[in-house]
Formats: sequence, structure tokens, C-alpha cells
Amino acid sequence: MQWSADVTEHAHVEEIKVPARSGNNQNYYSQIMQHLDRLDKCFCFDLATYIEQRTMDHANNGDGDSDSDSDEQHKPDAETIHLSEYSTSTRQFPDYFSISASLILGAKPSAPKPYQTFATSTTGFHLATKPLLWLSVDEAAIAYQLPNLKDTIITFANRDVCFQGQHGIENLQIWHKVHLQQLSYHDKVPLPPQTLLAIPLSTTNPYGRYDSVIISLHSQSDWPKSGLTDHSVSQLRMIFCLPRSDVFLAYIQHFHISNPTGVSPVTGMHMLRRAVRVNGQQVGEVIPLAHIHSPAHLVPNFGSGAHSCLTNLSSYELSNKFHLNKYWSKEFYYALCSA
Amino acid sequence: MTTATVKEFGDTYHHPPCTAENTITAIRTVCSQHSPMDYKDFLKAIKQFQLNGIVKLCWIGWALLDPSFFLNPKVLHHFHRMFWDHDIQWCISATGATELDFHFSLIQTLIGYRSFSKGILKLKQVTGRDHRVVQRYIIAAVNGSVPRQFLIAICMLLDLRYLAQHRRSLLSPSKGLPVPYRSSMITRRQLYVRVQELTGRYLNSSSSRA
Repeated sequence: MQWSADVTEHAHVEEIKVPARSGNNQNYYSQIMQHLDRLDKCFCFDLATYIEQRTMDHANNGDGDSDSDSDEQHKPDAETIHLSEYSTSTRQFPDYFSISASLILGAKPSAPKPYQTFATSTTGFHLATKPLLWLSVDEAAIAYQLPNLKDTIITFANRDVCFQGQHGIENLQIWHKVHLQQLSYHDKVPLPPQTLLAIPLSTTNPYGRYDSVIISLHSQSDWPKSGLTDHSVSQLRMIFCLPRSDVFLAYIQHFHISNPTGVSPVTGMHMLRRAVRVNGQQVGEVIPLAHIHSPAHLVPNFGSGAHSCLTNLSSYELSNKFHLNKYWSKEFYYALCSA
Repeated sequence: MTTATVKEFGDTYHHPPCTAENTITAIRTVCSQHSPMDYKDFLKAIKQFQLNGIVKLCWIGWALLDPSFFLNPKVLHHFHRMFWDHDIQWCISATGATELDFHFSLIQTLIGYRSFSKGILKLKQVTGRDHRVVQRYIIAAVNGSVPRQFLIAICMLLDLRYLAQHRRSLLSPSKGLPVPYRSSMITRRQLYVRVQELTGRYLNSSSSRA
């Protein structure tokens, strides 16, 4: 036993190999150090809470069975504090549906309103607590290149009962991202959230980045059961909120389904075209964010050969015809095929 | 599964299905003519029947059972790996390597999804995960630059892979299956062989033209 190398060899596994494997195979030394450091901190925290818990229990129980208790206090039970607690094999993600339900029930009275996490029957939403930008309507119209922004907001406000009587929409709170969570097609458990972007053009990206979504035409929707019926495909151009209102809004631009039957007979994919007015302006609309039901993935219709001037950044903004890529994810495929 | 052999792929004849009954009858016929103990003659005889020399099958006597039903394709190898080894090669030769890479580089993907900004041909250390990710975009990437029949074949294979991972679709073929499969009940294997014939014929004709 004296000459055995088992102990040190095993220490090498625990202290070096396991931390090295849990990193991303870059900068081994610093990552191993960080890993061990954090493990140590977690262990100390658990130890402290454990001791605290024991003294509280002890105080509550009184001095009745002090023998067994005081014995255990001196050597905290290492078996109950397992290192395996700190490493879970799969990534944890929040459940927006349950968070939103508990917020509505008033679990957190201090949470800012409107709630940044909310859910419909099909989809959960989450936005950052603070908006990224505060812009006036005119500034936003320029930054996002939406000349009819003010008119569409007024049209929406007049149509929606909640907004009637509200005047003076000078300032908009604007977000670049929204996190969308869906339920799985088969057993209706929440899936990992999907981030959607609506970023205007900037010096680093001269074309901006706008993701596409499936929206319902009415407030009620049975996505994914009925597929695209009563739904349409749109591009998310701006995520915003009016001051003193409790509804998050989205400015979207519509796509027309160009083929009369809607679906390409060969590939079974929907063929889309940007909806454009006679004057060349794109058809836009303001809708509540909650009308969004699913992310969508579009691919430009390259035709017989893609134009050689296109780049990864410009290919979407410079294209007019798209395919709705039903093979993008299995969940999306089942939703579109089941109808 | 049909009785077609490798050399017969691509011919116009629709080979009959290879069922458990056929195999058992073939084994009985051979055994009645030659004793399995008579090694030399037996090996010659089984060649004609496309048997592998096993005469006591473990599944003999299992009621209503057929190897082509219970020996199902594996997702990793028969879907993802096969897609990479065959479908992608067909697409590359039909679209052209640079054009296909260019199309892949133009596709913007959602956050969290892998993008192929340098194309797919020069990928290193390709794993099953990459095979699966390429399936998401391949139809959109080749659409328009390949002949109609070729696209139908690729789509059919891809539909098959997606539907096979659906929990209920293949159990109830009347519901949930896309139109092409509703008319006739075909097993997965038959569909595979059929599509291989289709694409194989297309590639042969295109290479002979070139």
C-alpha cells in the first residue's frame, strides 16, 4: 500500500482529467483552474448551508437528543454533498410557461410590468428586462427604414380596444431579441427557447438581420395542429413596446404564398414572395407579439443558379422569392405535414 | 426488401419482395436436394438461391413475422450516414461542387443552428450531427438547379427519414403521410430500393451524356 500509485493516479483523474473534459478543449490550464476553483466554492457554499441547516434544526429540536446531533455536527456528512450535483449532462433551460403562470398568480409582486415573460397556449415569450433602445417614432422609422411606421402604429392603436384613447406615441422601447419557447409536437413538453432577431442595419452589418416567424391571423390559434391554415409567414422587422402599455408589439412584413396551391408540387415547400404595394413599398403591419406562434426558416429561391454578387449577409434582404424550409426542424416538419 | 441483387440495381424490372416465406421455402428446397453435411455441393447449391448457408433460423416458428419488418434501419447509419455517403454525392454531381457550396454559404440560419459559411465540401471531422444538419438545408440548396425527377427522389428519401422519426406516422399509413405514400403501402426498404433505382438511372444517363 505504501508504494501504490493508485491514490495519486485517481487524484489525477478527479482533479485533471474530469475538469479537462468538461471544458471546450481550449486553454486547458486556466480552464482546469477555474473549474476546480468553482467546484471548491460550490462545495464551501453547500458545507456552510448544511452546517447552518443543522444548527437551525438543532435549535428547533431543543436539547433532547443532543448526543447523536452534536456528534454529526463535527463531521458534516460528505455523502449527502455530492459533486455530481454540480455537473448535469444536458443544458438546463427555463420554462417560460410556468414562469408566466406564476407571475400572473402574483408570485413576484415586485416584477416590472408589463411582465417580460408571458405565454399563450402554444408559445412562451421572454424579453430582456430593459429595452435596448429608446427612440422616438421618427428616429425608429429612419433606423429601421420603415417610413410608414407611425401610420401603422396609429392604425393598430385605433383597431385595438386597449389602446383607444391613448394619445401621443412619441417614444418607443425597442428590443433586438425575443426568446420564443414552443411545446414539442408529440408530448407537449417545453422545448429549448429559440432566439429571434430583428436588428437594423449598422456599420458592421449593412443589411441588418431579420428572422422570420409564423403568425396567426386571429388571436386564437391551434398551431401546430392545423398547419399553415389561418396562419401566415412574416418577417419580424421590429420588436417594441409603447410607453404606458402592457402589450409587446412587433412590426412585421408579410409574405405572399405565390403558388395558387401554395405548395411546390415537387418539394412540398411553400413558395413565398415579399408582399409589395403598387408604389414599391413593402406591406407592413403592427401586431401583438403574442400572435407569433413559431419561428420559421426561409431560404432564398436561388433559381437555376444563385447570383454571384450575393453574400451571406445580403442574400435575404436582396431576395424577393423564398422557400419556407419545412425540413428546418423535425417539429416544424410535422406541423406543416400534419395539416 | 426485394430480391434484387447489387448488380440488378437500376434495371426496369420491379423485383418481388424478399419475404420470410420465400427464404424458408428456398432453404427447404436446397436441404431436400443436398445434405448440409455435404459441404462442397451444398455451397454450390445455395448460391443459386442467394442463401448464406444457415439452415436453422432462429426466427423459424415465430408467427406472423418477417425479418424485413423487425430488422429496421438504424437512424445514425441508415439515415444520416447513408444521406452523407450517397444523397450528398448525387447532389454534388448534379449541382456542381462550387455552386452547392455557394448556396450553402448564402443560407442564414437561426441562432443556435449550425451554418455552413464555407460550404459543406471541405468540412473536417464530419460527424452524425453534421449529417443531420445538412439534411435541414439540402433541398433548399439544390432546388432549382437539379432536374425535377432528381429533386423528387431526394425529397422522397428525406421525407422518409423525417417521417420514420415521427412517433406514429408509419404505424397508420392512412393518416399523416404525404400524398405520394398514401396510395400504396410500401415498406421502407422497398422505397429505398426504388429511389436508388431512380437516382441511379438518372446519374447513369447524365454521366453517359457527359
